[in-house]
Amino acid sequence: MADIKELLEGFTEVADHPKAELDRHIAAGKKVIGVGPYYVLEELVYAAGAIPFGVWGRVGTASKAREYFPPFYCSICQMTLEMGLNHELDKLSGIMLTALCDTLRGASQNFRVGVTQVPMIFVTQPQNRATEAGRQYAIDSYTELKTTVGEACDTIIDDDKLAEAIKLYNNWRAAMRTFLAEAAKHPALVSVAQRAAVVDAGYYMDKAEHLKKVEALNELLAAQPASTDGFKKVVLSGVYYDIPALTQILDENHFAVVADDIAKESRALQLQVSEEGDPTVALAEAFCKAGNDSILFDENKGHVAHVADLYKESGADGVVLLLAKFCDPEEFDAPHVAKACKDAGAPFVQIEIDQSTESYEQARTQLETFADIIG
Amino acid sequence: MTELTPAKSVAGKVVAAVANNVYESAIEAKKNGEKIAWISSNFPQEIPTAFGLHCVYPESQAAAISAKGAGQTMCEHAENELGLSNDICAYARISQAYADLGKCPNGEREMPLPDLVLCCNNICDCMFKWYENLARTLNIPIVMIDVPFNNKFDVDDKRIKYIRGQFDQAIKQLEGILGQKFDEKKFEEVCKISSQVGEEWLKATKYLNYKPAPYKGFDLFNHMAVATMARGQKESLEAFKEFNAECEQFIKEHKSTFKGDEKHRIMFEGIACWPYLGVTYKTLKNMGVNVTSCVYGPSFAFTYKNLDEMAAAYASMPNATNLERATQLREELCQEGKVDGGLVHINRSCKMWSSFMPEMARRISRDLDIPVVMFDGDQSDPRNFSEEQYVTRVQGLVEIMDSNAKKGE
Ligand code: SF4
Ligand code: SF4
Repeated sequence: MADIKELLEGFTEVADHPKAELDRHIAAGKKVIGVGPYYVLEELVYAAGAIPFGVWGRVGTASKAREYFPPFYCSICQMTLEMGLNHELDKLSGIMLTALCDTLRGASQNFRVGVTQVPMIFVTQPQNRATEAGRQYAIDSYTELKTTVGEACDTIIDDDKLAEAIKLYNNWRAAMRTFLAEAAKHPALVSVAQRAAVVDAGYYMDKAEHLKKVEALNELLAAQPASTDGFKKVVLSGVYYDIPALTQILDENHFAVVADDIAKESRALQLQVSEEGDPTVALAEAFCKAGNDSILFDENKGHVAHVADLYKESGADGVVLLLAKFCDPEEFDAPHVAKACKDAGAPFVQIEIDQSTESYEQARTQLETFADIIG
Repeated sequence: MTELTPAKSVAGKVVAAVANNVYESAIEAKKNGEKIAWISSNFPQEIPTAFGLHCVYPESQAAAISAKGAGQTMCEHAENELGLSNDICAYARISQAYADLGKCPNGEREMPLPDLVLCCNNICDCMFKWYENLARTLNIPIVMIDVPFNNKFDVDDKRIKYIRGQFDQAIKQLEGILGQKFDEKKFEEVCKISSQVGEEWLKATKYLNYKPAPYKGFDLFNHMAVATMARGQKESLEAFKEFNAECEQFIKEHKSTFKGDEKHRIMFEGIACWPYLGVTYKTLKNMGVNVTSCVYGPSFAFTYKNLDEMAAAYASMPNATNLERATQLREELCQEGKVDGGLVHINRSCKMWSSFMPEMARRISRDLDIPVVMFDGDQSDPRNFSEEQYVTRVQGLVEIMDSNAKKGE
């Protein structure tokens, strides 16, 4: 059986080379559907016998995308479009994009007309999710998507297959939550970069295969004594942090992520889909139940209190808010998150991040200072 | 070309007075202990109006504050005191600053603080984040109507059903907050007036189609405050009727509020740069360019008879529709306005509006065979506008229009 180190290297290999993973799926005769952020119902893709493949931009700078987007847009959307325009996504049989923020709205249009070789599958979701009207809208939308995704994969998605996919995804999300908890207890064994790699690999690999490996890793980690000695325990908040230059700084300064409020991580992994009844309805209801996220309308702004709660519950030494540049939802919440953390007595630092940032020197200084404060 | 006599609009002042009155009566109502709502510009205001609720519009207020020169001070308050990023929409920054301060630096445009907020994201998602913040900091209820962005050309049934369902929900919520029953009859009356106001407003915007136009297109930027804020009021109907009668008079008498020769007619796309309204207008005027097409006409002209039709109307807002429909709308307006070119504001504040604007501009230019140029600006934050760039871009546009005109002679 592989050891912890080998398993982590395997995940890192996939996370660092998504294109190779994509080629493997294609070589195995699979259809692959891209999935952008947020809360995209990958289960449909899986049930159609295809592989869902995460596309959240990539590190780099936009050039062709600038023909479509003015410069003041988040890098996830700019770089996803850039990848499309650069033909990096041509092997996909489609890409599912949501429109939960203004930039995503525009991105869906730019992608649809700019990258015609990859059909854009538009995912519409309700924001008024606590109401019956919202629930029904989600069901109607997801029912349509079942047909659209089926078409893109040349198949009819049947409910048995969808129910199976839901089961797999529930198990996978549970295993991932366990992994994040184990990684939090074992920072000496799982670095911040490796934590991100395990998550990212999950966006690229076949979920069944990823699940097996994550379960194996969890078992090995659980057998090791927990220790955060010598580490500065932080809660990470934000959309993403899988930027090598950034994780390197976090690791060099011995940060341990003991809890996260990261959209690509725990926010996405919160979904638990009912395994009873109509699977499409179950998927819709699971989305309507999601919360604590800047991108989801919430009259009580649960997201704000959630970050402070994570601090209190996890025994962290501080909170690091990684603010995605040009991200409206996060920027509107940021001062409130900062205040809630301050009220909870949490040392707090806010760092601007972007996939197109060339130098992280300022972030380095900020994080070094923060490490001193909480260390 | 017909010689035009410069004219001053009297009716324009009547329209402006209606807008002013919205603020004045809300201030008065607050003093009398009545409830005040802050409401987003394209929230179905017929619902709160039927409740007799006093509504004021933070977007219009922010526009007025910035037109009067206090945009930067308010933005800086939002950034430095409230910790808001300078990347977010300047209206949202100004409004949150106002919610914090309760007043403008020099009384630019005062309005009462709200007891509740009414939010609809049919023009952008920034809106619900902004209103969430208002509700949180002021500790007041929020009523939200979600209009999901539509990737298809037509509005489908599931959207209408969803929006319609939210109307019922909003009514229930308001009944609870206001402790008062929803009056269907009153609602029908308001809808009737709103539709009539919408029609008169649309008619007003269509006088720009006359060549030469009886007024300068920039006048619309001012008058739209009434179309935004007082759609359900009889005074607005009267004011627009007066304005329209004046337009017809001007057309008959070859008069216009546009001073000078209307050498070129263009589409202006995007929100005005309020802090630089004078400069942006004069630059065009000095080169003989009038704006005869802008999207504000259809943006605030809703016609419907019941809640179902109202749901469909609000779901069709220009910012909630797909690229093709958004483009088609502009192209039709360009054709009606008989434009020779287009000037597109890439608005640093407005992520929604600017996000597919370069592609829309390309399409309009290609489909109508007219030059379309873009300039960088901001509706309210004066730090994001360069007069030099603006003038150069307008000059470039005029040169091409001149040369096209020569070719056509
Ligand atoms: S939520 Fe923020 S980071 Fe995500 S797509 Fe929207 S603007 Fe970009
Ligand atoms: S300017 Fe744009 S972002 Fe700001 S409120 Fe208006 S539509 Fe929304």
